[in-house]
Order: sequence, then structure tokens, then C-alpha cells
Amino acid sequence: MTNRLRIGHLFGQPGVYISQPGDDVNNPTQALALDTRYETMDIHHYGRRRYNKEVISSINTTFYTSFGAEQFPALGYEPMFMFTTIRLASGNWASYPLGIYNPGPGFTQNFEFEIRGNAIWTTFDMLGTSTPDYDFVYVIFRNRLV
Amino acid sequence: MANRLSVTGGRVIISKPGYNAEASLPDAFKVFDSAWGISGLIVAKGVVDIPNNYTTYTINFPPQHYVPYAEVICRTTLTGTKIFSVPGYCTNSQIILGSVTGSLQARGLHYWTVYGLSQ
Repeated sequence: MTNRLRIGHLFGQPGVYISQPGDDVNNPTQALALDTRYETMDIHHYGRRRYNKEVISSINTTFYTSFGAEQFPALGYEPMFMFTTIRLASGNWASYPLGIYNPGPGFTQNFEFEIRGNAIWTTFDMLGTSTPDYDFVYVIFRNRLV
Repeated sequence: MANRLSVTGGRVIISKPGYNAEASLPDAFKVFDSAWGISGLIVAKGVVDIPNNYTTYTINFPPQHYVPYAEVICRTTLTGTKIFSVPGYCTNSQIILGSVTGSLQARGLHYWTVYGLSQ
């Protein structure tokens, strides 16, 4: 049976180490399942918000902006976050990372994201003649951003 | 007081405060379960202010015994808080950012995170 738990020194440092199933903790080849040298991601808040579509007449012009604020319990510091948008058409494609790549009309062109105290502020800019509905999905962690 | 640590039969479970660590405990009330395989470790993170139009930029982190996943996002200083993804690749000890053309994307605060996940 594979040894998966080690309490003591590993990598020259004392700690608690647990390897992934099938991976020997004394000589691991994969990332560890638990490694007390490092912090773990701790979810503070998460949510999903609908951005309804808008239609305008111009072509290939940035035309769409939706600005919203999502509230979450304040932490007193800027936390780590993850986010994506889900395009509610064409198979509900997720779009992440955002902003630098424009795969075609109707996709997210630019996306502004800012955490101010206990709120997330977002702005979408779209490219094309019409947009589908979008869902903005986000996770706020208790971990500090840096 | 809840028993928050269970080490039995080759399985380690750590529960949240107020819950006994046991195999039947729903995952939502656990801090860790060795049956999960991964636990969301952050190996390293930081922020660097990269000037305009770099060709390559290297970020060092503590060497790992595997090649981890890494993420870099840029908050450009030209447009406030607009976030861009940043192209590049990762080794077991470095993030190497590739060239980004155009001053809009290239400059600004680059937030980087190395996760305890094998590629």
C-alpha cells in the first residue's frame, strides 16, 4: 500500500504532508493533497448574476456596457478572487480569462472588475450587433490578494 | 467539543468547527479529506509592476517537485482596473511571461498565483 501521510520533515521542513491517492508521500511525483508549508484557498463568498442582452444598430463597435455591483461581507482587505462569464447561447460557453482576446462578435471584448470594500464592480464592453445574455460567476476567497 | 481530526484506515479527515470528523460527514462541513485528492493549495503569489512593452519577464517561485498551474492577470494602469490575461508558461520554479504587443496590455500591475496543482 502506498504511504500517503507523513507528519515530520519533508522537503527539509517539518509539517503535515498527504499525497494524492497512489502517490508515495516520501517520494511524490504529483502535487500534494495537503502541504502545511502553504496556505489553502478558503472560500468567503460566491455568486452568479445575470446580465441581460442589449441590441444596437452599429456594427463592430463597442456598444454594450453593463455596470453592476455585487455585495459581499467586507473583509477589510483586498481578497483573492476568481471569475468568469457564461455566454447563455451556443452551448453556454464560459469565457475566461477575459479581455485580451476577442474571438468574434457577441463575445466579451473588455471586462472591468474591481473590488471596492465590500462590493465587486463590473463593466462589460461588447463587440458586434447584438449580445446574448451573460451570467457573471465569481468566487471571493478569504485569502489576501497578495 | 467536536473531534475535528480523524486518522483511520489510511484516510485523514479534518472537519470544520462544531462538526465531528468522520467519513459520513458531508463535504461541506470538512476542511480537508484525503479522499479529495487536492485541497486548493497556494504555493506562492505576488504582484509585480511591469513596465511598457516587455519581451519576456520571469517570475521566480520556490521550486516544486512537479510543474504547477499558474495564473497571471494584469490590471493595466492605462484604463483603471481593466483586467487582461497574460500569455506565458510555467516551469517547476518560474513563470515566464511572453511578449505582449501594444502598450495597453503590457504595462501595469501583474498579479500572479501558483497553485498546488500538477499540470
